Amino acid sequence: MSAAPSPALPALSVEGLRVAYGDVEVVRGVDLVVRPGEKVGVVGESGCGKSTVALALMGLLATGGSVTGGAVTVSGSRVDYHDERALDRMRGSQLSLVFQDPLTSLDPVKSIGSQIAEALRRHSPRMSRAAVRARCAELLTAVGVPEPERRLRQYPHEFSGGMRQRALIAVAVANDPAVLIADEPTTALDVTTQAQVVDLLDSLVDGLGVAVVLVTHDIGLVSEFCDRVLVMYAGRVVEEVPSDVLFGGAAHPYTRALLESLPVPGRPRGEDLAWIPGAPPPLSALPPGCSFAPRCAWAQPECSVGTPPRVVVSEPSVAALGTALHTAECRRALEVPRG
Amino acid sequence: MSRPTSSTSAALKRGAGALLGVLATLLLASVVSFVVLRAVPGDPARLIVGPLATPDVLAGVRTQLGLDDPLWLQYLHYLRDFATLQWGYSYSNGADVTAVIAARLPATLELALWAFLFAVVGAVVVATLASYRGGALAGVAKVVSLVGLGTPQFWVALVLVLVLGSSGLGVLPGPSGRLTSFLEPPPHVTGLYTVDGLLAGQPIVFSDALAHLALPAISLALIPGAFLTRLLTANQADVARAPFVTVVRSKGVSRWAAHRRHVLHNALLPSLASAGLVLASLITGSVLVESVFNWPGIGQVLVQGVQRQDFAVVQAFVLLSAVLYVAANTAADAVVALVDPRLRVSTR
Repeated sequence: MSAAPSPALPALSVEGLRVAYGDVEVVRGVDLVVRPGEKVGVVGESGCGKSTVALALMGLLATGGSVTGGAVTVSGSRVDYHDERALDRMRGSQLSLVFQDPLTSLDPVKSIGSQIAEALRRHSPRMSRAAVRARCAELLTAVGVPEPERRLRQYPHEFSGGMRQRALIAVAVANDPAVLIADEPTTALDVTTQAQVVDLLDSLVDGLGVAVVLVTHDIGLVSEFCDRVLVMYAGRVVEEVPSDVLFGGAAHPYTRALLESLPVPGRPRGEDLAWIPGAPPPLSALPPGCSFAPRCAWAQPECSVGTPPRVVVSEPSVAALGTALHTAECRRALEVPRG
Repeated sequence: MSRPTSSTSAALKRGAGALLGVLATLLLASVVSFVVLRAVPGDPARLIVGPLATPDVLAGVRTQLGLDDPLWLQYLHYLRDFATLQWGYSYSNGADVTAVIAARLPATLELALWAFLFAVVGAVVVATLASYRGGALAGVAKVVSLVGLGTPQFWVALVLVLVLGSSGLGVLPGPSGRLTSFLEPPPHVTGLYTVDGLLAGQPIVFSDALAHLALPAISLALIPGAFLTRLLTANQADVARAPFVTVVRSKGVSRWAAHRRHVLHNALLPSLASAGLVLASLITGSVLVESVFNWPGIGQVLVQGVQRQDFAVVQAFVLLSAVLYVAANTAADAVVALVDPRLRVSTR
């Protein structure tokens, strides 16, 4: 949580981010502000553009993808996505990434130690060998890998999935970045390991004061881990909501439908889970008006005309000043019954 | 890991298994070479004595060559003689096969090693640039390597001689052996003139030997070089798509450094085994290029041996090739096992 008395300079500020693959716009104007030490979740179905946002912020979109609009500021300085050298200096030192699949995220033929050291050496070339080794061991200890000296000499295949993700988190925090982007960091892990990795991220954030953007489809995870949640649908943020009011307070019909489709432990066996009819629209042929309207139970004829307005659902309370504004991009946001 | 005894025994077991495989392969190769040569029509004894010899003389030579013994005994003798380097007498050369091959092997080896160097260096450079830069360069590299794969060696050799050799631009010597005639070969150490020239401190001999090597080595390197280029380009394209490359970039490593340190490294490992086979094929497959360039290697002896049904030479060559292939393959596997951490038996 932000302990700063005044609204501090945001660690990451994104305004109107647009990303296109060829002619198809997959991210259509995303706004996002993350303050130091804050944890913000980005959730949505696969294909909604959430992973693209993560890669676009890093400047690491796959070939064919490009940032077509918007402004990104990291710790107060504007990022120029056409300046590769400046991007290389920023990546790893100010903005770093924890990737989806720990099994394929490490080079199989380099030792764990050399892969952590690579991040350190890139940004502190004058560091001595001994200092690098000591720092690598320190980092492995910090992410909860026992016997760091021995583990540093090992190779990825000698690490379990959870241990690999810990090593990757060590790589990501090696240079004390301002922002850590975690793209589905727990999806490939089994449930008990997931909880451990989340706890680790949580303690690191509190210890280092790093801002976290957690990209995931797991709405339960974000509500537990994050201060604030952004719900994405078809390349846009349709609702921004403080996570303590997510369950019971969601205003956008899409968010509500997502929450209702979560399995609840203890529900009688055989009862069908709620689901959202239809499928997300192809980004190359979006419906007019609100993109969710064709699947929405609350849709009215006017929903298919014009961009839906951004409605302020509730002003932040005094206690949470500067952190949480609850908005939804839906003309009926205030009419949809919540809870 | 923490169990040195079990990992040592695992390494021993693996080594023993590899050795058994090698022996089985060699035995099979020896059977094939033995049977094929005896299935060929024609009587080597008749070839030696000539068409006018009396039956008595013919029978005498047959006995002398051991051709009257039962086949299994002939095979056992053949194996024993090969293992003890008694590769028989080559009547077409008038000398022991061992001596003939020993005299000519260094020339072939030197040619093959330089061709291998050209092929590997060329393939690594072209494939890396093509997969890093992509676009038109990758297209050109693809077309050139496809053409390279489909072009006959002797044709390339002839074109190179005509264009660059003494009858063309005169940049490099044509088909005139290993050294210019007024130069003395360097003192014999390895038999490779370029190496011996350097060892003896004779830069002129080194450069002259290299100039003579250049055209035949390039002709010989073209097909394996094109093959390795295709292989390395495909491997690098695969590795470049792997998520860990994005992770490396996310540390702030530039695209070129990430490609060199991670993509190239990962792409080279699976190519090492193929490189071993390429080396073996270069040593045993230089016959055509050797005859175009008048190169005094084993290729020419082999051609003569086949034409004159000189069993001893051909058998020795076939089995020697099998040994080379198996040795190159085993060596390549051993190198891969050493440099690939996933295959390394942990000794920690």
